[in-house]
Amino acid sequence: MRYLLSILLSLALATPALAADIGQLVTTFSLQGTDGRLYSPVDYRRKVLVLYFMGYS
Amino acid sequence: MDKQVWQVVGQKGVQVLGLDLWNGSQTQLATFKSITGVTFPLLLKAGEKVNFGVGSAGSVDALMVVDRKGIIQRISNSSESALGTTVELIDRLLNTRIPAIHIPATGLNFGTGLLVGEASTLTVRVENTGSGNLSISEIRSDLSGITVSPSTLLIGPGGNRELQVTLTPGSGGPLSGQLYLTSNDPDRTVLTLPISGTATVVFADPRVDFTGDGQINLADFIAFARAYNSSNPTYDLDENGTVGFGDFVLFARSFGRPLP
Repeated sequence: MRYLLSILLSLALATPALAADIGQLVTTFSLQGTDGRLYSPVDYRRKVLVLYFMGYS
Repeated sequence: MDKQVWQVVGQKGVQVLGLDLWNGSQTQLATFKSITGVTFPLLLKAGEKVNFGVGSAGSVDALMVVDRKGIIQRISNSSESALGTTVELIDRLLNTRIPAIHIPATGLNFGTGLLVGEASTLTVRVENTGSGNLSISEIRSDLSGITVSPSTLLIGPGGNRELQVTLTPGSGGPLSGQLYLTSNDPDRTVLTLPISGTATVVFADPRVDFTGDGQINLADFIAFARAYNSSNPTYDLDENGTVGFGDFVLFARSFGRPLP
């Protein structure tokens, strides 16, 4: 049981939940693109930005 | 995958970032881009590092539309549903005009030559680098002796105006403070500009305190005026034998200044 809780806790820490409600400021993050650059929503202030969440369906 | 989404959205000139929730490899994503024709950046390992509660590996794709202020305006958990509504929203956001204040100067440095009681003016250029009208509704400073003209500004997109910032030091020594410009720029509601300078006290000639009250004021001027054109040595400051214009100039230089 303790082992299972450790795994769940690790997963929770590895994938932090970010706020995503309409009307809120988009929570910032920084991710590497396929071109090697780092991208963050804050780099696109003053532009209309679409975040496209890609599953594999 | 619904190609229609990024084709439509991409054509609008908005910035699109693709967050890879299925944690594909570089090779897989390169293949994906070549097949789909996607040109926007694909961000690696998004599924491992962020969780917006939007979309997930194995689910249908999802969209989040963020306006120019960074505020989330739409979350669609299916890229295929209500595409028309999303496109209409993007159109509306693209047409929203937003002002942006910009001041090339990093501060207002009046230098070390300031004199107490004497005004010194610097010019500051204020630019609007945004797409909407910039309205500066208030300009104030926490440093006493600062006046600004004009006190409000309206600048069109791409335009600029000049502000005259005048400092009249009330005391000697180093001076520092801030100039605060309040505007309708959503990113910089209050822009702060540091002010600095050093003022020197200039003392009055003690001889011109004709009334002996410790101040150089109107009473001394009246006394001087009464002695004008006479040879009264008390008022003959330039010692040329007559109380004349030269003496008036010397008197005027001391007017209002403190005595040593």
